[in-house]
Amino acid sequence: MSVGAVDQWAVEARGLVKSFDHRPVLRGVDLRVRTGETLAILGANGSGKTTLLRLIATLSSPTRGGVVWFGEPSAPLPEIRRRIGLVPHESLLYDALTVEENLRFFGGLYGLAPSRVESALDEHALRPLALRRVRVLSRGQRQQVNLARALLHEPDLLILDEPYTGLDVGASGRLTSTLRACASRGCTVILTTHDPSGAGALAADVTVMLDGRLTEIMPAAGLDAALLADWFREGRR
Amino acid sequence: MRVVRLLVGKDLRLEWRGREIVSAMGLLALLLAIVLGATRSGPEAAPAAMWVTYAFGATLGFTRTFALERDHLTALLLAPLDRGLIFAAKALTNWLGLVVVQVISLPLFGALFTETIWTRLPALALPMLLGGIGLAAVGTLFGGLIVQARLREALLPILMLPVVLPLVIAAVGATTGILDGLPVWAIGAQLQLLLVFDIIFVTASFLLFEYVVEE
Repeated sequence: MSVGAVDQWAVEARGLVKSFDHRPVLRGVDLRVRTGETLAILGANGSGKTTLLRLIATLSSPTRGGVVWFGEPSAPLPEIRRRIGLVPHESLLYDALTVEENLRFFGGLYGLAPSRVESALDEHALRPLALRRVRVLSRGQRQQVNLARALLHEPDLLILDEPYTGLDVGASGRLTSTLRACASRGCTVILTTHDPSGAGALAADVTVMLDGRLTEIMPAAGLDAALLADWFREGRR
Repeated sequence: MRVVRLLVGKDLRLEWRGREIVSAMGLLALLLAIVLGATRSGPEAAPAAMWVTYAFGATLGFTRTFALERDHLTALLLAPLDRGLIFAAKALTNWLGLVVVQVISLPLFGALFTETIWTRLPALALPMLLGGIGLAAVGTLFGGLIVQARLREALLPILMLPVVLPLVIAAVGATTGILDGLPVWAIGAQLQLLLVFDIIFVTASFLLFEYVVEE
C-alpha cells in the first residue's frame, strides 16, 4: 500500500453533478477527504449517497464536475482503481464458487499471488468457511467475505455503501474492528449509512447528504440525532 | 492473456456447476433442428436450418451470459483491467458455448438433412468457425450494452439479428457451397466476407466495450 503525504487529499471532488434522464441526483457536491481519514456520509434513502460513492469509485462519470484521486489529476483510471476497494450494498461474490475460489479469482484480477489469498483467509477468520460455496453463507458471513475481497489488494481508499445493513450485533462488531484496523494502517475509509449511531462508532467526521448536496464536514462526536432526523425529513421533502 | 484466462476459467467453472447456458442453447438448438428437419426438406435446406439454429441459440445463450454476470459486473469494472479484456473473455466464453451447440447439433443435421455433412466435415469447420466468432463478437457487444436493461431477453435478438444478417447470409452461402461439393477456394468470397466481418466486429467491440459498459 502506498499512502501519500499526511496533507494529501485521498479524494477531492468539485461541483459534482449527476443526472439520470435529466433528473439531477447530485446537484453540485464538493467533498475533500484527507488521506487516512474515516468519513461517514449520512443521508436518507434515495438522497444520492450511492450515486456519489459510484462516482468516487470510478464506476460512473459525473454529468458535470470532477474527482481527483490521491492528488494525481492525470493518473490513468486503471492505476486509480488498483488503489480503491469497494464494498457496495449488494454482494459482488459468485454464489456458485467457494469463498476461497472467489478470493483467488478477485486476487487474480489484481495480479496477487495465491499466498495473499491464504493470508487474507487467516486475517479475516475465514478459514472455516474457505471451502463453502457463497450461496450457503449468512448475510453477515457474506459481508465478511465481501470485505476480505475489497481489502485483498490492500487499497489506499476503502468505500463502503451501507455496510451495517442487515448485520447482527456480532457481525457489526467484527466489521467495525476490521475497518478500524484498516484505518490504523493509513487507509482512507468513506462509508455511507442512514444510521447516525453506526457512523459515530467508526468515523471521526461525518457529512450529511441532503437533496443532492453535502453539508459541511462535522465531528461525529457532536452529532445531534434529533437534528439529523429533521434534516432527513427535510431532505426528502 | 493471464486475465482473459482467469475470466474464462471462472465462467467455465460457473457454467460447469450450473449448466445453465449450454443446456438452454443446446435444448433450443435440438428443438429447432428437429422441427426444421420434420418439414422433410431436402439437403439444400440444411445450411439455412443450421444457421437459423445457431443464430437463435446464440441470442438465447448470450443473453444469459451477461444476466448471470449482472450483479458481479461492478467488481470486474472496478478491477485495474483494460475493459476490452472483459469483452475478449466474455466473447471467448460465448464462442465456446456456441461451439458446443454446433457440435451436439451436427449429428441431427446429418441425420435429418444430408449425410454429406460427415464427408465434408473439415471444410465445414471453416464457416462454422468464422461464423461462430462473428456471432459471439456481436452478441457479446450487445449483451454488454443491455445488461442493465429490463426486457433484455427480448432486446438482444432485436439488436443483434439485423447486424449479423450479412454474416449469416455469407455463412449460409459458404455452407451451401461446401455441402454441394465445391472446393474451398470456390467459396473464397463468402469466407473472406466472414473473416472481414469478424475482424471488424472483434476489433471494434474490443475498443468500444469500455463505453458500452459505462453507466
